[in-house]
Amino acid sequence: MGACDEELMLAYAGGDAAAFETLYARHKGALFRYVLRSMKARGEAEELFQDVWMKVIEARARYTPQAKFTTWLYTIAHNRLVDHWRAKGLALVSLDDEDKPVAQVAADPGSEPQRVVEARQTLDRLSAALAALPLAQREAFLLHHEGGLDIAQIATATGSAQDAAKSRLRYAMSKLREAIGDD
Amino acid sequence: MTDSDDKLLQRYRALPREEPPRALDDTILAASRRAVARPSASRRWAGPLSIAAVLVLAFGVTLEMQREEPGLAYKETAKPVPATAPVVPAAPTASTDPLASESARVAEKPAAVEMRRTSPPPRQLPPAKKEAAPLAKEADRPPDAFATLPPQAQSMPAAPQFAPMEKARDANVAPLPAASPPASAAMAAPRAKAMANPLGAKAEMADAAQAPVRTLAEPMEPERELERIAKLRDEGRNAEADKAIEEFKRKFPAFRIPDAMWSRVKPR
Repeated sequence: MGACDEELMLAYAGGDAAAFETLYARHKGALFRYVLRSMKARGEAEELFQDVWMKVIEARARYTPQAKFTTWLYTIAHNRLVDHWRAKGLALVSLDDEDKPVAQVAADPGSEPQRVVEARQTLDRLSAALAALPLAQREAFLLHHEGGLDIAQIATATGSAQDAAKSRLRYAMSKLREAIGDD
Repeated sequence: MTDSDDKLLQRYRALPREEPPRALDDTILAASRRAVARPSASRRWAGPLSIAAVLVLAFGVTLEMQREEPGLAYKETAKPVPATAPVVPAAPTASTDPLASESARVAEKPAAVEMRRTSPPPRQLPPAKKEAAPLAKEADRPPDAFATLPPQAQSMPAAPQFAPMEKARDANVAPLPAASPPASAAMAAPRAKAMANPLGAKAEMADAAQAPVRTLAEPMEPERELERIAKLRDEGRNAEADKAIEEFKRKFPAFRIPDAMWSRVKPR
């Protein structure tokens, strides 16, 4: 069993480049999927993914293991995503939108899920439903299932209350179950 | 977690597991290595080399300034005391140490006296300075002046008038600062004894070594006294001169007054 993420990050901050390679290998896939499934456009996702790791590299000297490394990593990613959404004129979907059925969102021509379905034909219904989720719910779902964060860590990474994080995750799960006909 | 949640997660995991492209991996890992890469050798040595260069420059400038002010440097270097300076006449001894004759030669030179003035005087030999001049005078005397020595004393070499300091210390006495003139009978006798019995004469040598210390306090050195008497004659103070010559004979019964001097000081 290798060193934990926090030890690896501290080792990297101390000059051990190999520690960063181990960290990167552990988390690159999940982070990439989190970013990719939050943004839809692959090119932008790759750019943002690289930007997140550059932030990690730049912030190595300031890193203190007060929380799990994954929480810190996904906090950086979340902030970059928020910047990206703001630059695109988008905002995190409020909980008010969460009552809107996924099927209705997908059926709305020109809506985000519809474009996702067209752009990524390989994705199945789940993928479409995931893409159709409001951003906050989708992010909560991805942080939980890709990043392995629990409710408290999701709340920390997204800067929200634990109740809100828990509610978003619950709504996301519910909508996805409904979308795949497993409800 | 419910069964429906498990089914959802299974289906989610069945989705394609996208990974970042290899080129992106390489870009990020290269950046991570660059960030913690140590500075190059030239950059690592830049600081120490700069400091060394500054020190060398400062040293060179200091040397150059000293060269431009030779007076300062000369004053600094003119002070050292020659090794022969502390050599002073010591107790009369029968030693034939060649250093003794060297000391005599040093005493002849005014420069040597000058050097002695600048060097710290030996603590054990305070009266050495007082005797340096008479010794030099003695060395300048013609050889026939020593003819007044008793036979035993005449057999001694002239040089060993200065005893090595080690011998003076062996005698456990204050080393003799200066030998009295070779014509001194007081000095010649113990010296001759030491020649005859060099091993057993330590105590006697010590006594003899102390004797000149006492006589040095008196200004009655034969030649000087004779000069003083001659001066009295020249000034017409014959009564004083007669008294002085009597005193001289009493104090230096063995001293043979040279004819030239005798003609100047003899009672009239």
